[in-house]
Amino acid sequence: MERLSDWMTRIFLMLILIIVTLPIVLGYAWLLISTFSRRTFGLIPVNARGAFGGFTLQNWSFLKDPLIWQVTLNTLIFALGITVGVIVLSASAGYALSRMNFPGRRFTLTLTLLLHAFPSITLLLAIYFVLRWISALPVIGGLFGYNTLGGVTLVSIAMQLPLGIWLMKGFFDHVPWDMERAALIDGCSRFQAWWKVVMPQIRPGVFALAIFSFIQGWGYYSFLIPYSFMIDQTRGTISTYLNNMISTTSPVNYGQVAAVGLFQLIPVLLFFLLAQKYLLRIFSGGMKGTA
Amino acid sequence: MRVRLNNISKEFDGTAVVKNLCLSIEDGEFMALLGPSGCGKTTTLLMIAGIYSPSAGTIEFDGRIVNRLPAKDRHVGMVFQSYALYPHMTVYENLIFPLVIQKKPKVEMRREAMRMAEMLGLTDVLDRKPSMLSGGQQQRVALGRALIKKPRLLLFDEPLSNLDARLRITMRAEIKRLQRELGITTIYVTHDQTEALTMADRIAVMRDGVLEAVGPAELLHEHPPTLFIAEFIGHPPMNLLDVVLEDHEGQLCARLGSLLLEVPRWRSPQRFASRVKMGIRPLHVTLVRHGGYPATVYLIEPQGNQDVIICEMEGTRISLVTTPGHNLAMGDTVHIEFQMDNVYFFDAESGKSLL
Amino acid sequence: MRGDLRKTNTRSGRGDRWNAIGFLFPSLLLVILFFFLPVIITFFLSATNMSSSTGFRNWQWVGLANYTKILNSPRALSRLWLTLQYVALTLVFFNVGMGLLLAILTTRIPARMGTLFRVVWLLPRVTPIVVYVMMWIFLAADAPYGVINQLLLEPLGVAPRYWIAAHPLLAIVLVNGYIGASFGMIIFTSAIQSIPPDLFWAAVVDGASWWKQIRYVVLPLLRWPLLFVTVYQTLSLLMSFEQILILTDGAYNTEVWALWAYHRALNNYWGHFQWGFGAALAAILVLIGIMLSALYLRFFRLNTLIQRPQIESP
Ligand SMILES: Nc1ncnc2c1ncn2[C@@H]1O[C@H](COP(=O)(O)OP(=O)(O)O)[C@@H](O)[C@H]1O
Ligand SMILES: [Mg+2]
Repeated sequence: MERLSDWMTRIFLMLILIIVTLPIVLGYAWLLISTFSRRTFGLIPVNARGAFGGFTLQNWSFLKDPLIWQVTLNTLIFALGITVGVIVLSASAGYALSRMNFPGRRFTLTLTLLLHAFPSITLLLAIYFVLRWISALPVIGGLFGYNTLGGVTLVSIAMQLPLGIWLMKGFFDHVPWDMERAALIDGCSRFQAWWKVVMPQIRPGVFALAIFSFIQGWGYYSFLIPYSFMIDQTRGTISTYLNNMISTTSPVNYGQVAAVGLFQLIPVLLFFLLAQKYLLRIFSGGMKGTA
Repeated sequence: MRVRLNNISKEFDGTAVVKNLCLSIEDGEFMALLGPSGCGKTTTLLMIAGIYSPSAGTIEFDGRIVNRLPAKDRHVGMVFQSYALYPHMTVYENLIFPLVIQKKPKVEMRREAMRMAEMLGLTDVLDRKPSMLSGGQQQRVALGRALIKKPRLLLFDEPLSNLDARLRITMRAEIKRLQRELGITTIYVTHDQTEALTMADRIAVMRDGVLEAVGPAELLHEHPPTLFIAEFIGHPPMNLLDVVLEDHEGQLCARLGSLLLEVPRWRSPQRFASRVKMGIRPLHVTLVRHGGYPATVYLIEPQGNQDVIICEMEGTRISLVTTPGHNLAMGDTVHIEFQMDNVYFFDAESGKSLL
Repeated sequence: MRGDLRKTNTRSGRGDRWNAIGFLFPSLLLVILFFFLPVIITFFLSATNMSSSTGFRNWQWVGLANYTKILNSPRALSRLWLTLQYVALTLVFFNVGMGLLLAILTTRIPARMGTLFRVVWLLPRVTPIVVYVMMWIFLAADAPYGVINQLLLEPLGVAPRYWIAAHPLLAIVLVNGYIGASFGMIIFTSAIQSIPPDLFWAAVVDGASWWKQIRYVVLPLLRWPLLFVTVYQTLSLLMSFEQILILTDGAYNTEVWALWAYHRALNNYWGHFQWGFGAALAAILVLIGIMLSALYLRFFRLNTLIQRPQIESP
């Protein structure tokens, strides 16, 4: 009796879960099916006459377009740049906040927390002016100014920094003090102790944050910021390329759009599935102390 | 190297953890820093190492003030309680780490590491990671890493407290032998009096951040300058009894409840104190067949070669040491005698010795 | 003596100060460039009439004129109302509601299944945003293309239509909600999983039903995570507009406040950028953000997060 009702509850719960999850599943199913079809009616691939069929690899012909490879390369550079930038900057700042005594430490920590809660998307307009200003600088301007990959990378790094710093600080908090003291006594400067002894201890955390930054850089950050601050098509990312395809006035070939979408999704998906265990932890780990 | 601590203090967020500590350690000396946990030993050691800066006072190495000298330039080697080995490096890499930082030539690193490994019996485990070693081996690696850079001062922070009892005795001997051989000035922090007594040339006893006394082991044991030291040094701990001193026709007596104990002249207190504690080591309380004072056996603690017997008399507990084979049981009545030639008197208020 | 003590005190840790500046400098530079400076610029711009017609040279100070213009604009009220509806609905039904539902359900079924569902729900968060929105466009598309029409409603006999145009508010809520729910889901899940199991056993022994366990054991312990997620996600929802930008670009009356600011300042069909006015719109959001952040700070027990550094460089 008891058992039966237990079973019923479980099935009931599953049913609810399946229903609410359905849109996601349908969405991805559509994406997959339509990339290999001429057209689709709902989830059903159809040929020119609207009958079942019409399977094709035609949608993947964009792979022959040199521009897609250009923007893929851009996206890769962008995402890797973000990853390296976020790791290096938040590791050094997180270390200082976790392990050093300096006036204003508490204030800086609070500030990091506030910035973390404060998406600077609102500041896009003002950032435009900052980038224009950077553009006016000699040498640096050409690399990190308006309409450069360097510039949009820097902006994206800045937006991820608060979270990165906060997570890194958490990782450093768990490294035993004696180990670092031993390093200093063994002759290290503070910098050497950080790099040679403390950093290797938090490798799993760094790895998780790196994957997270890469995924975010490849997907989320690769749209709005490049879209707003980059004019040249050839300097864009896959996201802006895709958005161009959707928002052109000529009839849109949605099969092809889906294929580009899937093309952009595949690396993220692989990374995500490989590292989902770490990522689940990083999401909750970053929020420690909220309870 | 000579080390001098001049009136150093350390506070964390307003609470003083080390208070006006003055201590000097001679060249080549083995100094133990002894005290219960939480009394500020580690803090003191870390100030000497350059990890903490004193809130006040100065630290001198060979007459030079080193307060502003970073840890890396102090030529100090340190062994931590947790060993603090670098888990991502092999034993070999751990050993040579100080030399790597000094950018010594590869050949020299190799030679020194081999010499250390030889000396500490680590040659077979050089390629392992620290997590693959036993506690004793980890301890040796930590020791080797501290020694390899030929430090002018060696610091130990309770290095043996994570080892099992047998290993502790072996390592104790080994560390002492090494120190003698190399002649490096050493400060050894411990809360274990046996370690301090067996290893050190002199012992500095700390209590609540204050240096209570400094001296060679026998001196502190035979002439404890304070109640705290009397209690802390010696095993089993000294009996401390509330007594009243009375004069009976020129003979000084200590009244313990209804008992009257005659105090020999050369053990008489030199100063007056309103409340007095009399100290006597368990070794100097003896069981007698005839005479003596009656007491009830409260507890018997066999310790192998000797038994500690705790008796109750006059409302206080007194422990004594005897050889096994006495056939006593809890509740039995025994007769005990105090060897008054070996008593101590302390001012119960200030804790200072009255002798 | 006292004076002496204080003197040496300030001297200690001076090395740390320089070290810390070195370690913090690069991050600080970016934060100044892309957070602080922009906030200042935003307020500064909001007091000017700078636009693409005045250019960067011929602008004038207009004081609070932009703000009064906003106050007097009939659109301001409708957009504010839309924004409030959008934030409130998404928050209640997805970022908090769905997040909580998912956390509770996925911890009540076999662990493997639970993880599977959580991973699926995280997918929208890691999917490139353009791809994600495109999927929704096709789910909602008119017959014969739309998946919803074909699979769900046709069998029920509902007339097919382009659902985004038909129910634009619902559309932006759903599109945002399906990304937003996973944040709460993760936070709540880890909170539920850290509830000591004996609490549940105690409840089971007491004969509490499944629902009672949730009601009397789980929910009370989730109070802080709930508050935190609510405040944090309110901020995120107020400020973000990318999904709407791609989904409708503000058509069908879906131009929320943040998107309004974006359109005016940086991206509109007429190529007439009203930087001053757009900045005033953004500045209002910034002010709201600062106020909510102050609230948010209260949910962090900051002191438990700050340990005292145990190394002091002389
Ligand atoms: N970094 C620190 N911050 C605050 N208090 C500390 C710190 N280090 C030690 N203390 C406090 O100082 C006291 C002495 O600590 P310690 O020197 O470690 O004692 P011991 O080594 O003798 O056991 C303890 O009460 C400890 O809590
Ligand atoms: Mg200690």
